[in-house]
Order: sequence, then structure tokens, then C-alpha cells
Amino acid sequence: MQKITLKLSAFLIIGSLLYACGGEPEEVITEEVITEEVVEDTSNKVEYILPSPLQIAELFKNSGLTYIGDLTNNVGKAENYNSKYDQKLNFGVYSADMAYCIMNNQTQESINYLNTLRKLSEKLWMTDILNSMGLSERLEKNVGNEDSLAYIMADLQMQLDDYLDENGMGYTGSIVFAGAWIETMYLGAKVNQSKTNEKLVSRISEQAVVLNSLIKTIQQNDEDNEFGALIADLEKINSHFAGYDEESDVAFVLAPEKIKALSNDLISIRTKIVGE
Amino acid sequence: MKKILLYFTFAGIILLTTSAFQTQNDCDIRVLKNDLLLALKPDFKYASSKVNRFKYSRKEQTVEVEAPLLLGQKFKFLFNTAGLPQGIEIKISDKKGKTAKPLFSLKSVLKEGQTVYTYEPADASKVYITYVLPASPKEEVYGCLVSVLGYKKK
Repeated sequence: MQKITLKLSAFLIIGSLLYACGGEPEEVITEEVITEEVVEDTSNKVEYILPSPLQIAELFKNSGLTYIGDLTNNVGKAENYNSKYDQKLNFGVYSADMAYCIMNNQTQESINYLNTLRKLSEKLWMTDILNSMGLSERLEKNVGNEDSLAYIMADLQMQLDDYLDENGMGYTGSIVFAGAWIETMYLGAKVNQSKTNEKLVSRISEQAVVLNSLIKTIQQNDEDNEFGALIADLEKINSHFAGYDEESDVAFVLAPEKIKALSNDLISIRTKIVGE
Repeated sequence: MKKILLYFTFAGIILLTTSAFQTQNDCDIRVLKNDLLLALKPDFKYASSKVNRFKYSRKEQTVEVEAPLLLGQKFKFLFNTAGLPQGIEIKISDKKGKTAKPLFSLKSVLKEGQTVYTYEPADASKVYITYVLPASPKEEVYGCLVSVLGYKKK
């Protein structure tokens, strides 16, 4: 045993010294495996930068997205989301609801959503993002200061992005974003249904460009064919944006009947995600 | 004696894994990102970020990134090249293909010692970013590029 340990020690020490002194890479075979996991294959790859849910909520708010209290998802439903897929999607839904409440100075509601996000993040093993930021205290201290609250939400987004990147969970980000995007579009559609707002309709229409990238991102991350149903639902929403040309200089605005059909599909897909 | 040998074994393992990790991933993402966040303030808010980890090869490599933008907001792209041991070209255009209009090229603004670069697009619904990694004379060269997108109300 002593001989084996001695040989092993000698091998490791010599190997380490050779490596540190610029020895040939063949001496450390395990390195190749790590490299394959960390470094991206850059051949013919297209990546997508998606906006944040807060950014879309802010844009909608500035275009007349008013606050209607009972539109957002009930926090009590968080207990019902048992699969990782449902938890990720609804993490996005609750993030969008929190952004909606923050944008409309509904501080207590925002804190309720924050607590719900905490519960879901524990189920998704992402606890430390929300615990490390003192978010509840910051939200309470900034009651009424819409701008500061928006910065707090932006910080949360940044922490989430850092966490997902550091833990190699980039694909999770696209599913969370899908949930948030559908919820924000649902809120926009519902508010527009209650009182038609042309500016809001323009903002909803221009989301065609985001949806296009969102679908491609999820497709790229769907190596195990887990997200087929979600992609099909998003494609269904995308069909309402037929005629959108991202290279055109003319603003794309959906006609009233198209907005009505889009809203109906958004409502039914959102119901599928959050449950009855 | 047994104990000393065991200590040497563990020390060897730690030294080996640490040096291997440093060679492949010599990027402190948080530090690189913080530099960009400083350049974002005070006008722009954080929208999203991306970390691209590269391995240089003997052939030139390209990565394309599409960024949808929203018409009611102004945007700022920030790039930190400090994690790249060898060069990179960053090109931004309004379209794909031959009719694309170039909007930004890192090559044209490159300055000695500067690692943070920014670009603020005018009205656009989407921009196309291309990272071009030059061919490297050496294999096993790793690096990372950190980018942040900021936004503000128009």
C-alpha cells in the first residue's frame, strides 16, 4: 500500500510540476473532457439575446398598461407546480407578475410574489439568488419610488442570469423567459380587452421580433425533445404575426380582429401554463 | 510516513486540478461583467448579458448573435474583451447577408489598453452581431467575451 501511495504521489507531483512548467498537454488526459464541456463550438452557431421581462413590462406600462388587481397568477398555485418544467415556466410567470406589480407601485403584492419566487427557486435549487440580495427590505424601503423598484428588479434579473450562466443552466433561462413573456403578453391582452389602447396594441404587435428569437432559442435547447408542446404553443401565437417583416421600415401593427384572435390564444395558452 | 505521502498526494491533486482549470477558464466573469455594469450607469438599466467562452483554433471562427430590440426604448451594447488572450473582431449590422449595412466594427474603435467597448444603435428592431475569432498559431488557447445589453426609456 505504501509503495502504491509513494508511486501515486510521485506521479502526481511530477505531473503537476511538468504541467506547471509548460509540459505537453498529452500528460493530462482528463483536461480534454473538461474543455469539451466549457468551451463553445463556434461553427455556424447563431445565438440570441432576449430582453428582460421587466423591460417588456416597462415598455407596456409606458404605453398605458394599467393595473388590474386580479389578473396576475394566484400565489397559492405555486404549490401545485411539481415538475421542473412547470416550475421554470411559472417562475417566469411570477417574475412577470412581480414586474407588473412593481411597475404599478403595488409593493405588498410585489413582496408576495417575491416570496413565491423564493419557494419556487428552492424547488429549482436556486435559493441563493433571492436570499443574498435583501430584496424584501429593498422593496419595502423604496415603496412609491417606481424607478428604484425597477432597478431592484433589474438586479434580480442580473443575479438570475449570473446564476444560470455559472451553473451551466442557460437553457433554463429561455424557459423562464417564455413563461414571463407569455404572462406579460397576457396582461397586455387583458388590459387591452378591458379598454382598447392603440399604443399598447403597437407594443404587443412589435413583440413579433422577440417571439421569433424566443422560439429559435428554445428549439436550440431542446436536445431531449422536452419542449415540443411549448414550441407548438409559441408557434401558434407566432401565426398571428404572419406578415411581420423585420427588415421593413414600416411599423407593424395588428388589425383589431387579429389582436382579438391573438388575445384569445394567449389567454388559453397562459391558462394551460398556470392551471385553472 | 504514510500520512506525509497522503498529504503529498492531495497537494498534487489540488495543484494539478487548479492549474488545469486556470489554463482553460482564466476568466473572472463577475469582474468582467462589473466593468460593463459601471459603463451602463447612470442612464441605462440592465436588460441581459451573455458570456461566450471560446477556444481559439488554427482556423478562423465566427459566432452570430441576433438581438431583437424594442422600438420604444434606447439600447446600449457593452463588450468586455479583457478575458480574450488573442484578438477578436466584433461586427454589428442591421441585416444578414450582402445587403447588410455595417453599424459597428470593433477594429475601427480599438485602442491600446482599452477592453470595454460600447455601441448604441439608432432605431432598429433587430441587430446582428458577429464575433470573428482569428486563426491562432497556437492550439489550446482559451478565452471569454462578456457582453451586456442595457436599455432606457426613449
